[in-house]
Amino acid sequence: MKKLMIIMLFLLLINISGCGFKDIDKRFLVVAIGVDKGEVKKYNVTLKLIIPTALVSPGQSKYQLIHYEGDSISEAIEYLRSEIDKQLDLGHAKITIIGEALAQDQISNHFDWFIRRRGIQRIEYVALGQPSAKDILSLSQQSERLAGNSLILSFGHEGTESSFIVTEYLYDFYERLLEKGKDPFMPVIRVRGDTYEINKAALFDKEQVKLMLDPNDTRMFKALLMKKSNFEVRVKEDPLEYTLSVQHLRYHFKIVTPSNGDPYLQLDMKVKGIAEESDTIQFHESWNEIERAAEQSLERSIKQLLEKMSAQQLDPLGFGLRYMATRHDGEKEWEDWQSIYPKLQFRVNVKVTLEGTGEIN
Amino acid sequence: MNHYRLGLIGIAMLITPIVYLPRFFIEARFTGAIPAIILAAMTGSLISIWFLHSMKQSRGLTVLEVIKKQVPSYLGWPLHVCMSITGYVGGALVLITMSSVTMRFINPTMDIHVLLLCFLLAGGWSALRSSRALMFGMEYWILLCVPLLFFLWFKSVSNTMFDWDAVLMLTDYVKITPSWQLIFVGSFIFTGFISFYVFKEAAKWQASIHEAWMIPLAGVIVFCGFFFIPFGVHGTQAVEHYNYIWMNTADSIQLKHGMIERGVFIYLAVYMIISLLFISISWYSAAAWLMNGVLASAAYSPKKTRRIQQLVVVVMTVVAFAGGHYMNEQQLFLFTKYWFFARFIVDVILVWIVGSAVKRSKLSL
Repeated sequence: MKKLMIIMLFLLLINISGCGFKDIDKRFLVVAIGVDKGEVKKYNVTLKLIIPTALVSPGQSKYQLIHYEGDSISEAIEYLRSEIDKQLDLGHAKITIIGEALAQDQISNHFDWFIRRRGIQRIEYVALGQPSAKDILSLSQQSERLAGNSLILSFGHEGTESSFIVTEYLYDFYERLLEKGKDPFMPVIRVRGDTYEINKAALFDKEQVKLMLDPNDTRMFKALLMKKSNFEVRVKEDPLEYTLSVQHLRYHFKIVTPSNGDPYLQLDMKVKGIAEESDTIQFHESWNEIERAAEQSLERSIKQLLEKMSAQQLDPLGFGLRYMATRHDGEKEWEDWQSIYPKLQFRVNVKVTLEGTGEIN
Repeated sequence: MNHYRLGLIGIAMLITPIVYLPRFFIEARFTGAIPAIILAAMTGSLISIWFLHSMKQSRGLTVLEVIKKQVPSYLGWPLHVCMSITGYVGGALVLITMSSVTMRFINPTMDIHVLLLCFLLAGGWSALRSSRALMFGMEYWILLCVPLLFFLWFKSVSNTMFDWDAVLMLTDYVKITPSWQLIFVGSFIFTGFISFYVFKEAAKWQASIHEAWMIPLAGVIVFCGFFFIPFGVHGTQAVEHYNYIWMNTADSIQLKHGMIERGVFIYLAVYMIISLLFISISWYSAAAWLMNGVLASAAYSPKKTRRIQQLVVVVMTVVAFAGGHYMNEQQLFLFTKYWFFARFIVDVILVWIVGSAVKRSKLSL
């Protein structure tokens, strides 16, 4: 009886072998998806397909770029399937790039496919391509060992740890699209010569790009968003002029709504750093002034950034969510916040501790 | 402390994300999910502790033996049949959900019937093992899975993107009258193990009932993990858009320096094991309930009993396959909801009958 069972099982296994499974050499792995506004139809979808090679060496990465226009992303991909000879595997896509023109309207509609479609990773990076996603995907960096790898390394902070590169994941972007009191953002990728330039961030309201942060603001934004240190601040307070390398950063904020007077946001930050480049600071002088200068610089740039965002009613740092989380009025909080945010004052208080003047005094 | 019993209690708690329990609560997050779980924890724990208390009185007998000895047969056999059906349906629901989830995340082009068949073979086969083998297996698989699950929880919470403000938003919605339905559903965390109390190994009692406090404590921890972490990851609005919220939450975990980058694969592996354990345990106990109820009067030889058990499992397998073939996701979701209600009612009746029977028999001593 047992033997019979075992034989039956084997017969069953033989039966199920040829279904659905496709070997790796019959698959095309998509590493990056680009979506632009189409010229004729709504979307122009570009896929970067990796071509496996026996030898993996820098600059030798092989890839194929395919694109098609469609009225929906799934339609375009359906057409693309007919252009290639292998099974398209979207499960390995690590980054999605949205063209700038497409980010100008109804961004939430464009993202429905990415969330709804099975097999798309939630931890995929999202970014905005300037001028278009296709231009970004067409570039392959000299140092790349695998197609698309340089973008993945940049956003994953596994390779470079630039203070200008903000990282956004698909799941987080989707959260921000729907969340009350927390707005979406994306890093902006541009092509400069043979390399990518990623030093800006695009801030969205729930539908479109409203504000493009310049590199300096992006750096501050990243520090506030991810509480990441390891960035530099140029301090320029007469007569001092030096660069502070921030080694350690901590901050917290609260929203105060006094019964008499305007509501304000109190942001307290503690920074530890060392001087990195200067010809004006002296080891034996009082460090108080040096620290004070850095504090003033930081306070000014943070305040500038916050005011820029609040002027556009943008809230990527989740102030609204914090307001609602710390009040207990249910649904009413959201209406309250919408009237509070435009007139919110920002009080920034930075405490800088200088740990050293670098290797020289 | 009997760790087999703890294992059974644990399995019923851990299976909750597969049977949509977090989703029921997330959908009701602004309409009384938190008070519902508090009430469910109280009722559920009381029911379980009462049950464990009466089991302790009967000195290490399984619930089947207690019913046989102390409950009149006109009450006994309908109870057996009901317990058997709810236990069986629970396992089948987990099986169908798990096959469709696995298909989506591992190989979307695969035929669902193949996966169903694989799960059915594994589940059916292990449901036919001896109770000892099942208990031993459960013991070390839980030891393997629980740390991995905690690791995933830790990775989610320690991420800088994790938003505690979204979790704190829920504090506004504490003072709302919850619906009865949600309390029934939530009590599963605390009373889910009752129908599994047919394993001899798990029924052994030492001196005290001091492990009873573990039920509310572990249940609340498990619930909090499965309920609150998705809010920190997906926010208060997007969280309700996901069908399988925990699959997507696990997919939002990036393990940069691990061998596997996507947390979802660890989660899937853990949940395949836990689901198979749950399926085999609930089907084993469903078969035991049925056989004890229907065949109680007739005395069969062990070999014949074994044959009947095999037959029961084969029938269950075929029905589950048909269920997996015909049900779509919406029906599965609704069916799971009704299963929670049915299970709650049957469990309460069982605990009440057994509890009062044990009490009466003690009085007559």
